[in-house]
Amino acid sequence: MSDGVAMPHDGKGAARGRRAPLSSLWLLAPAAVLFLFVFILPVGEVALWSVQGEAGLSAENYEAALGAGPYRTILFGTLQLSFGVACACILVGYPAAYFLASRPPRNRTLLLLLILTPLWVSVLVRTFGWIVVLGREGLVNSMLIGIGAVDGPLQMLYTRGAVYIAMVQVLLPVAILVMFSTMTTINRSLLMASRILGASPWRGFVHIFLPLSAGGAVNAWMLTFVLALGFFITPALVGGPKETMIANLIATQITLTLDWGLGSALGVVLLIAGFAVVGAIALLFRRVTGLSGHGGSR
Amino acid sequence: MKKLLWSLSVGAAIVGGAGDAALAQSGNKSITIANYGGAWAETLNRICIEPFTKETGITVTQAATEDSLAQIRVQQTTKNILWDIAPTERSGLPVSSKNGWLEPIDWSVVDPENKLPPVARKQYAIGAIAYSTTIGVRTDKLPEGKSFGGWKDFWDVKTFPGPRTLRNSPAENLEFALIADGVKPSEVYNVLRSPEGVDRAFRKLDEIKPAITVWWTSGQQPVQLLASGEVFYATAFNGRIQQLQKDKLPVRIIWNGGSLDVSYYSIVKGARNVADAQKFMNYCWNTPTRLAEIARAMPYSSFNPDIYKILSADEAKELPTSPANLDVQFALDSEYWAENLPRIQKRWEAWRLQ
Repeated sequence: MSDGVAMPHDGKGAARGRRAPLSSLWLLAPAAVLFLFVFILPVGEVALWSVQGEAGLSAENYEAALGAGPYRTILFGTLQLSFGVACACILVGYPAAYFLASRPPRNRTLLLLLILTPLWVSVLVRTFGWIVVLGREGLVNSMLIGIGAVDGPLQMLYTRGAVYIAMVQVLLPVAILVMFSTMTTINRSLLMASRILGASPWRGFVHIFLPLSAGGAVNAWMLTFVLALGFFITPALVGGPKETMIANLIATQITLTLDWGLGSALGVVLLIAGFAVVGAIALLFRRVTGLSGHGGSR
Repeated sequence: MKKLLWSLSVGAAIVGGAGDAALAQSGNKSITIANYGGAWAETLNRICIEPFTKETGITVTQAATEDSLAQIRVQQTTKNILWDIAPTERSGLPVSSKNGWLEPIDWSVVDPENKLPPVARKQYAIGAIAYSTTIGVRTDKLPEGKSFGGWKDFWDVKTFPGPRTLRNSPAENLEFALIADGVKPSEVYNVLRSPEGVDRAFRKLDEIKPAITVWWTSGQQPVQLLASGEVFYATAFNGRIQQLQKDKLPVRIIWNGGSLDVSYYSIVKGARNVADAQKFMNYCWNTPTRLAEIARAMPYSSFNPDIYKILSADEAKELPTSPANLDVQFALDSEYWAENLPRIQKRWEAWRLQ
């Protein structure tokens, strides 16, 4: 799960990797074979489709996908929405993960269970739940009208806000879980030491806990970002036209217009864009924390 | 990598072949029908499949699909044919026949008495049933003393205010827009085929766009939106609206200007059991008693005129192919859409984003 970023404070990990004897590489074989057949080969074939024109190789599908027009707009919209959703998941999830990690282990299990329960309910059901809550005659509107806060129903459904709420709710448990697992590895006696040396709890948090847990937060961000990129049921059901996701367009090309070349090109572009954003964030994180980590150790 | 793919498909073929051999040895004849799931699959099971198996000994398996055309294409390009019968509605039929993915229907088996009209008797498909995209109206939200008559009123947000929903697809909506703009239902495709036609439809759609709170994608969505009061006017499949009426919701169907869509079924090229597939088509989709039973179970009806000798007048008036309802609707022109969808779809996406 944490293959995205090498932990900057964990130099040992890389060193251990180098020292690993080659003979244990076979441990990777089952995963590698599976990955090759169910991921690399199919994606390779899709990439081939995307460059096949009427006569031989052609970039026409990429011109259609990336040239000015609806596809480019929707691609940027998808990246933007996923970026926002991932940030919201971290902002909302970080305090929850912090709370969870600072409970005694026995209480944690129950709390973790509570956070994980929503994952067992289908995304579709949860999305329809939001339709009931946010609709014109839904819970929130009935309540607002009932207490006289508004005269007529507010349009909450089919807005960007509704998509944010629904997607964050679906992805939040994942974000919390990733950050929580990093936070439990942080040595709490460091915080105690800072208090003994006269630091305020806030200062201890900012200078010790935050940098040590930042790797987990970035991993969680990247995971939720990548998952959000592929969403399409939720935005289609609770969002408006401006929340069309690139995944919806790909599905249209594959099943409706049968333009598999364009569908493949859109898929490849999404894959590359996803890699690019995640890679850029990982690099940025390494540079920033590399500096602050250096400063901290002095 | 090509080599790897090749060896992979050979491997699959060997495994698949072994499965065939095992099936042939067991001596049981069988056919596989790809179908949309849900109530339609259950109805088919009860009215056609179970008695068919009892009478003939041929087992019939239904395979659920949501994207028949894409799967037909996959099966044909990989030469791994899993289905005997597949739904080919909308662009499915013209695209699949053009590409040579279908077996011709043997009409001497499927319709020996020549009962079906041409629309249901295609070279490569039988029109099993028809369904309509109609307007569903929440009668309790109608303005006092006003009666809602069709597309002109759907577009008239002054007289009939309130949120609306349309399907997220240019097919049908361009037709509806033209009817709202004064084109006769029988003329819509002539206008659409003229150079100015598509522009005119999009211009008319511009007018209604602000009143469309949501563009629906799955058949159950508009019904849910009507039921929850999220919208007052919606396009929806006739059978779904009638389900709401059975649930005692104040909802009315407007057949006027509706789009009649034929649910075609075809036999795919290379199917294992073409002969029994033809037999099943006759047994299920061209036998008036069973078709009448299907129409009673779900308000979707065949083009075989003999079913109206069995059904009462009351039952008939709820059906898309009853003479009175046929007259006020237009038949969706799947050939027009097979030709023009890729081009218009792109314009549609751009238009929705504006």
